[in-house]
Amino acid sequence: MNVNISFVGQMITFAILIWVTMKFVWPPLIAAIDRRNKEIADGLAAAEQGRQSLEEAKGRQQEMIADARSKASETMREGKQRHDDIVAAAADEAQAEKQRIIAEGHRQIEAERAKMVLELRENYAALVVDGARRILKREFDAKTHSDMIDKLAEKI
Amino acid sequence: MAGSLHDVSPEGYIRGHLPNLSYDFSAGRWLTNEEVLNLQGSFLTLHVDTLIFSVSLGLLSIGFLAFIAARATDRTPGRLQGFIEMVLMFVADLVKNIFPDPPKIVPPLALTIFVWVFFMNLMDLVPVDTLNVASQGAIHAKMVPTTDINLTFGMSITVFLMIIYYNIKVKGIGGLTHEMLTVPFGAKMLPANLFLRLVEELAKPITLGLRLFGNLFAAEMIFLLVALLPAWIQWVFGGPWAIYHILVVPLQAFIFTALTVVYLSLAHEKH
Repeated sequence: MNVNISFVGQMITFAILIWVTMKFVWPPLIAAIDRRNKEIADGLAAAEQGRQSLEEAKGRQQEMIADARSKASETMREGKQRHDDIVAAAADEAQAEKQRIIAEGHRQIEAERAKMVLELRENYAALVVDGARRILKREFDAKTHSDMIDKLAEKI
Repeated sequence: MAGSLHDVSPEGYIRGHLPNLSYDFSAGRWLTNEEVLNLQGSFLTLHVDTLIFSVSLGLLSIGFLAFIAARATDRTPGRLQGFIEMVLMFVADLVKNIFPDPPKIVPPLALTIFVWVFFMNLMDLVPVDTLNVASQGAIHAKMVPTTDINLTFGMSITVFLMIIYYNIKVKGIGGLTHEMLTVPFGAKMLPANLFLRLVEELAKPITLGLRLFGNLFAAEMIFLLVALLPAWIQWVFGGPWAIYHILVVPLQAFIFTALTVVYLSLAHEKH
């Protein structure tokens, strides 16, 4: 193989290529990669932060749910209490009303009965008088009849 | 130039494809294939094919990267930018693993080597006679610049100069001299230390340049041999060899890159 001036030409070519790479290829590409890496790192950090705040929000949400739940059960308990009270009160009232109505009924029945007894008594008296009158009337007639019979019998 | 495209004897075919397209400045003319093969050119001979292909591949690949880099967005990247960022990060990680705190030039240097060598090696997959056939035998040129030892040594010697530069810059002349004379056996074994160090340092550019050259030259040679087979059987050997080459192309680019970074990191560290 003949070594000659070509070798110097290749060294110059090589040097020029190194210079071009150093000046125009390496820095912009590395800069772009580094900037992107930084952006990706920032993005990941932001995502991590987002994840944490989501976690926090979830914690708060749990708290709020627990709170709401206890409030709801409190309200329900109160409501049930109220309901029981109302029912009990209503039952009492109803009982009282029932007693009152029954008492009233008794009273009315009593009054009616008294009235009827009175009426019956009056009617009884009238009936007795009427009956007596009728009996008297009949007895009186019978006497006449018997007189007649007696008279008839005497004739016979 | 010998019309070796029409010389179908195996030796003639291969001899026709081995020489670079050479222009001898001292003679002021193009060299024939025979002259190139017989090493008759002066030192002022330029391998025009290697130069043209390496420069255009370098400008195309690095220029393409620069084009993408200029339009690089830090928002969601397109596929192309994504792919180039992958290559870039691959090289950046490689450098970071070997050389944790490098001078500013090292990562771009590694990227340049990786991309440039990759595309020059990739030319090996272009059929060997493409240029000859396209120019109807007028041009005999080698399309794979990394099969030219001038290119691989041009790169490895440049790396070697950087190794020397960082050795001196980080350790100072005194520190470097002290290190070369006393490491690893201590001051008593001074000549041995110096000899070992010189061999070690000189081996770096030589192995770096020869490894790349040897791999690609041998690969090209196999493709030439395959091209000598009858057309109907070529795929049996050419196919697997080309597929194997899909592995070799990036691997050799990677090895050159990684070793360069290793050598520079060794030069940069103080003992």
